[in-house]
Amino acid sequence: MGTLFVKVVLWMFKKSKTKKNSKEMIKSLPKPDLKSEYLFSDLELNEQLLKELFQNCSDIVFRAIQENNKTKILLIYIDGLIDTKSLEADVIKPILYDGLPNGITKVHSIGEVIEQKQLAISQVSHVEKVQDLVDGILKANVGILVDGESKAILASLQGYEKRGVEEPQTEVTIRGPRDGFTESLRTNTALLRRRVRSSRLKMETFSVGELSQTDLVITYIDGIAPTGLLEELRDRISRIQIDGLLGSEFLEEFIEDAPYSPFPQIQNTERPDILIGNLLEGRVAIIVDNSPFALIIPMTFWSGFHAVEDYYERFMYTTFIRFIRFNLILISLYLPSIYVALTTYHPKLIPTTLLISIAAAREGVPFPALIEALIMEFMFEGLREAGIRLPKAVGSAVSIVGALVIGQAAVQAGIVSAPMVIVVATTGIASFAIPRYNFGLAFRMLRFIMLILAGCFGLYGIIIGFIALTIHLVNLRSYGVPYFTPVSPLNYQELKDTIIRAPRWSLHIRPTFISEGDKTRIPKGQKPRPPKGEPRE
Amino acid sequence: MSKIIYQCLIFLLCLLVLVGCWDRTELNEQAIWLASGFDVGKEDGLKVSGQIVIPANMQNQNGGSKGKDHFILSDEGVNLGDAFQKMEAKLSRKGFYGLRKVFFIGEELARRGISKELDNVTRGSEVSIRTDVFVVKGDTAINVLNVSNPLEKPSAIAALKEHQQIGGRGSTVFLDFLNAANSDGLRPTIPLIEITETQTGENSDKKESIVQVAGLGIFNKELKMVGMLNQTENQDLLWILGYLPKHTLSTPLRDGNATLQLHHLSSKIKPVIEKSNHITFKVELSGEGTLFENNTLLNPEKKSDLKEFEKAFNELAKKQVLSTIKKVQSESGQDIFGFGEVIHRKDPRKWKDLKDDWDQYFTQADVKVTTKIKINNIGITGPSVLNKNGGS
Repeated sequence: MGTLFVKVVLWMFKKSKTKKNSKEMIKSLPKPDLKSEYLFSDLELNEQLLKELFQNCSDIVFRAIQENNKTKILLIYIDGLIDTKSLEADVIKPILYDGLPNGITKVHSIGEVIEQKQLAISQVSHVEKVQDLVDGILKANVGILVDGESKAILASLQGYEKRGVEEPQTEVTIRGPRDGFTESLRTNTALLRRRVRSSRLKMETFSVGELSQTDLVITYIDGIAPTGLLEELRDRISRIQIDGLLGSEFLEEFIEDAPYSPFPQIQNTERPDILIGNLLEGRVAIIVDNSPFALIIPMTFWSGFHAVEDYYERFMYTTFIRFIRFNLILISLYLPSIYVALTTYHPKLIPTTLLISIAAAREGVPFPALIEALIMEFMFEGLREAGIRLPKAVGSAVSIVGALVIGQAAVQAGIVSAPMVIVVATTGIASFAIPRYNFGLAFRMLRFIMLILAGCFGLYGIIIGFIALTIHLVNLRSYGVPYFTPVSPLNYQELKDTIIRAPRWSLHIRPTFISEGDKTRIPKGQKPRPPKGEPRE
Repeated sequence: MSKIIYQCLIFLLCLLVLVGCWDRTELNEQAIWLASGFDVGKEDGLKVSGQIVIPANMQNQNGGSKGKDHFILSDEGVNLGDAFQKMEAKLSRKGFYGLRKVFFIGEELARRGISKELDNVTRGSEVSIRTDVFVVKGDTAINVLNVSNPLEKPSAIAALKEHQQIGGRGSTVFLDFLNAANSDGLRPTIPLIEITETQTGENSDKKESIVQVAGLGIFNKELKMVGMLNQTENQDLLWILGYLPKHTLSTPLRDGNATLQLHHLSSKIKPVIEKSNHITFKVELSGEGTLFENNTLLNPEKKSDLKEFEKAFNELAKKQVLSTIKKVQSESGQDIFGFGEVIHRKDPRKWKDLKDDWDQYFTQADVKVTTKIKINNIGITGPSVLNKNGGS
């Protein structure tokens, strides 16, 4: 037994030593080296080259036009990404029917004429390299090649199918705007720009992913977002080497600070209003194409526990709700472990009548409280997991089975005790009250660790777990910002928006740890008051 | 570096899982011991009995309970430890004493003295010191344990609740007892409990036993019970000690009678020591009250009549308290009022001379009682409803 264990341990260490070089794997993928090559001036050669490149790409369309029976023009685009109607009306028609205008005397090239006189399109650019042309075409532009010229025109005619702006599924509000991000990057940036009509809202575009060439936008407000953080972020993004970036979630794992922490250090949101709210506090956001979830950096513990609704409801109610929510977080983390610890190690701490009724309920239960709790928690997590994946029509079956099997039958059969069902159900409800889903996941997971600690060491174990958790949380940083700020390190001014939410007119400053430049956000003295003097008739 | 950390982590994880025997005990592997009873056993021994909950019968999810909610276990031994040891053999589960809220002492044992019996009760770490204690007047402890209460599910709690309900010390009795046993100027007391009967059916012969708080047992320095007080006297004592939360006084007045409920009770003791070591205690008692019943022609809305009420109650209280003190002085001669402690605190040097013969000094001391009772609430009616025309 012992030797086997040692062997297993040694094997694990060996395995971790042999690192595979992932860099080389990506490099070895077949890819024509076109970086340095320029376009030919001969159209046929260009066409041949591109057709070779786009071999077996059935969605690429080569459309040749002959203008005035003389000049050959070639349009290359991807079917489905291009607004075909617009292409016909704004590109092909003018060239075919109008022809080249005769009045022009001094022209450098026919291409220039086409661009200036005949393309009724707002965004047009020139490229000379083959690679740039290919990239342009892949990014939903129409490439226009003219015979005898070594330049190509890229006309932006994007017109692919995309989801409209809908209400976000994950962050629902009662009051507040109903628009959410979509998979289309441009739509998303437009939603942001509509909210901040200032040139200080910056959007820097990057492209990540060897094959996917995914666009992502770093957005921030100039003068508020800390430059150090921005530089660090740009640096981290530029270091990423990946074949395909399929969403912001891929990015998150590359750019977070402590990958082994159970707590998310980067917030995600589906709502443009949350994103702008965070930008105004000096945070930086990343929007990735094809992902409706934007990332917000840095995240703190408290933003994990604030909901959208908090800023759309009056402050008193919000403070009350936050207080409840905070207690629910504690419940979701500690309740099962406290129950196990008290009943197995410290029954003296339970009031007599409660103890007797718990003892009465436990009568005949075959398992120790720890095992009982683990079974129930396991079943609960299992039910939840099953419920997420199932189609809506079948989903209700899960809850019926869950309620009947776990709730009633298990108690009646004497496998688990009724108080344990209450404890697990309360914990479940409490964990649903955590507004950020991925933040709640951390507590869900830690609950099991706490449970085992409580089962092994009683309240002592819970305290050990609590201390370890607190040390971890206080130590954790997200882009240099302490996770627990402003509670630790303490800042009284900023405590106004943590467990409580002070009225908006009293939230004078931006979070000092996050923002840069002018900290004043809302000047003082804006507390509303009734008009002075006699009441009006 | 990280290799070492990994190795440590795996080692620690193994420790967590492989050690196996944790000192956990499940609730359904424990016998919850709610009350103990101590009686005189054979040959100077001790008889210990305990009331243990039957959890299965406590469950009332599916209608009423199935049977008795507790059972009684008892055995004899030379001392507590011995008796408990013998009792373990009769229990299928490990005894859990952490919630034992009350223990009873048979009168016979109390009179024999309990100084040797209390060590075990205070030594064990799992037994709470917040315990109520009763001496069973004229009966044995095991008989009290056997009496079930119709209201309280674990019936041992009934005695404790009764005690708190009528304004006794409740769960601090044992602590007070230990404090008093270790001090020179205060003699310990333990409340009394007795078994009485109450008529339940139509026939007067259909009776059920019920326990009732019945006063106070007075102990001397050797922790032998030497005297008893009745319930009224007990309340006077608690008033002087400052423990009493509420009190009810009823007095005949003019051609009727009246009752006052007192709260905010407090007391002050001032000793006056003469050169000859003759001591006079001035006991000042005060309290505020609500007029609870008025069967006289007096109208408490009138100031002069209210004064008459107050005067009557003051005199009654004064008379009662004084007679209680006199009774204790003459009958048992034990300073259960803590007069000695007052001198101890006020004049520690003098106390050194007095403390060895304190029982002597206490019995000879003069006591003056003054009471300040105020009526600050006369209820919602002025004069008695039945005597509307009344009022002098």
